[in-house]
Amino acid sequence: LAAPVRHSSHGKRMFIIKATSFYDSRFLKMLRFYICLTGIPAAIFITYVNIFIGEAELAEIPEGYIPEYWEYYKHPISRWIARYLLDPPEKDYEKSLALLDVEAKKAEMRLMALEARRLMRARGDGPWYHYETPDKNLTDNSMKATPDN
Amino acid sequence: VAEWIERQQSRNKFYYYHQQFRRVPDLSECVEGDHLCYFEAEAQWRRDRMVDQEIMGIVRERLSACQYREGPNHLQNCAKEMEQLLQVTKAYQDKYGDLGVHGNSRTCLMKQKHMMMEERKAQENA
Repeated sequence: LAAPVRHSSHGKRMFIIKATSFYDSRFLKMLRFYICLTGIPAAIFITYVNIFIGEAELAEIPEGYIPEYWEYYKHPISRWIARYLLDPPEKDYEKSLALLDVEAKKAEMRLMALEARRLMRARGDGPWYHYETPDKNLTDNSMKATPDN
Repeated sequence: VAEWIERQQSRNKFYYYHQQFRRVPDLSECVEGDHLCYFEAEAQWRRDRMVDQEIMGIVRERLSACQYREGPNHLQNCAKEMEQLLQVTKAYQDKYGDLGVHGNSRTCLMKQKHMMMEERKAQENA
């Protein structure tokens, strides 16, 4: 005879009716999966670099030595990016200066062209602003021949 | 653990330096219409403004460190640091003060010009 033993058996089994959490939990699972897919290797790599390679130390520029442009950064990964992926800042600077130069010359040329237009239109002694007029031999001067008209 | 990390890192040491920029002609020494000169003077002005902001931060930190050291009698013993902060702040405000977000070297030069004009007017009136 098995006496009814009072183990806490959570009471009666209920079928709890609530809204589906399938889509929400699937979204969160996918989010965590895809973030960790590249996040964990990136975190491992960055930890490795920080522990085993370490950051640079600040030093005075030695006499007669011109540091390369990537040696101005502290973290080894930023040094690597500056060295292999980016252009030297001198090249960037020269490119921007060249662009500025071209645009400045264009603006100057446009101002000079406007001035030339203004002067040629006013004085009329330049190659611009010549307008075609009909031939003077085509005019009929017969009505101007007699003054009493 | 810290010593083990130090040993790992000290195998191949490398250094980083502060970049030294050459002084270029200022905006007041540029020929009018020379946009390249304007660009370089502008860059130099911005670098100088950043340096001045760092100087401000350092002077402020000195005052706060002094206040932390002195404790309850900081108002009396930190007079030098307070005086220094006051002078540096006044100088910074005079030079870069109300230029606003779009302040560039040109507006700064104009501000200097206006200050000189007002100074001359005050001298004539006095």
